[in-house]
Amino acid sequence: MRSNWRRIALIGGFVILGLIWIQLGRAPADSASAPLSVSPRIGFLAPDFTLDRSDGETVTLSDLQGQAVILNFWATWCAPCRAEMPALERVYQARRDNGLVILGVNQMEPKERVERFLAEVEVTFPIALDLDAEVGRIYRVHAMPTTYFIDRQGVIRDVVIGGPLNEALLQSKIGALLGE
Amino acid sequence: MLPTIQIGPAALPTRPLIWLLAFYAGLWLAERVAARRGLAGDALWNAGFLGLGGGLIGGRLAYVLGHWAAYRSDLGAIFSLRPGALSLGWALAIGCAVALVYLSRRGLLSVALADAAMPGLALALALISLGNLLSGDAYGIPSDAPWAIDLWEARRHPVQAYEALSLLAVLAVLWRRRSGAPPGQAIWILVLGYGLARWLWEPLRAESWLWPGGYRGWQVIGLVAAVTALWVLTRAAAAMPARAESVDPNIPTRVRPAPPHTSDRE
Repeated sequence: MRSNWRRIALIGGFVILGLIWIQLGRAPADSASAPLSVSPRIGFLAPDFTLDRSDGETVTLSDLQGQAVILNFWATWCAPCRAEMPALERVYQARRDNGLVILGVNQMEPKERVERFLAEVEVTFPIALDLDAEVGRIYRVHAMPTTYFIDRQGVIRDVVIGGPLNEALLQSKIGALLGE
Repeated sequence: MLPTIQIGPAALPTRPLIWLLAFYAGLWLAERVAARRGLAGDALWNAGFLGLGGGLIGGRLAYVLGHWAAYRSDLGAIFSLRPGALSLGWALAIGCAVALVYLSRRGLLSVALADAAMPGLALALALISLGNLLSGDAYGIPSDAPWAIDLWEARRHPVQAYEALSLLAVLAVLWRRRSGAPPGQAIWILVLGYGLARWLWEPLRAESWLWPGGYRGWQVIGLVAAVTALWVLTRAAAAMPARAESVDPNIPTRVRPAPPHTSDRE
């Protein structure tokens, strides 16, 4: 009988301690509306950058806010990167009018090599030249292709490492970006 | 942080690799413990791999069905080896169901086998937490603690390491259990340990499943699980000495009969 009461007292004490820690551990009231940090991570704001494009223009990521962005890090020597280009192009053509931008970010290759590749593959989405891989470093790109899915508010919603991505997978990720 | 692991020319994403390693290590340990207790350790391997296969297929199907509009015009993509198209929650649920059905149909589902699997499960959960530390997932809140780590543009609590250490402590407790422990005790020890870990460390996580009022859902569930397990374990422990008190306490000690031989109790 006494041991029963001791057991109840032990468990009761633990429950009280547990509830106190739960109360102390509540998320701050303003946590949902707190400004997001910038980091190449799902749920964070995508780091901004400005790069030269293969067509001579420049592109700044923050200028694309309001549109959904697929950021695809690639290189001509990367076989899966080459393999997924047609799927990226088809998706771009199908959804660009809905507010989708695909930005291919070539890693550390001279402009002439990229232009020769684009003449063969024929993609119409913009290609940026990350000649010193500084943007790749900011985005922690360790393998190619690496693809970031960024929503209209500039928040990273998904990251896919590796490829080739197929059209169905791309379409399945785009809906959330476009708020569908 | 190590988001990818280089194996020859291939750079593979860390998280799924660690999950596979955790699965294999957990299954290996569970089989060893089961075999040591004379249980069907091979069945655990079979159930595990059937569950893995079933989970991958089920998780892929669930993802496809959830995004049918994208897949109906590209049915071949359903069979793509691209790992990104997987519904993790459904994969885990279906995988566990397949494994349980396999064991049940062979009449092997028992509390004793579940007890034997618990050290392996604790090891797997610890490895998954360490994997999160490597890949930068399930990261902690910013901290000035001297042991804080640099992650995602801030110094943060290594909450993944706290969890891993907690689970390794649970594994140590499970490993030291004596062989005559009551059936089901290992299950409740793991529930207690993991529940305590979630209750204790959840407020240090940067991303939590929040309930109304800012309460952290997994922290509440962890506390409920831990309290339940504590109740069951202490109740079982309280019941054990009663079996030894089989003599009349009114009889003086000198003439109190000797306790029965140990073998009579088994």
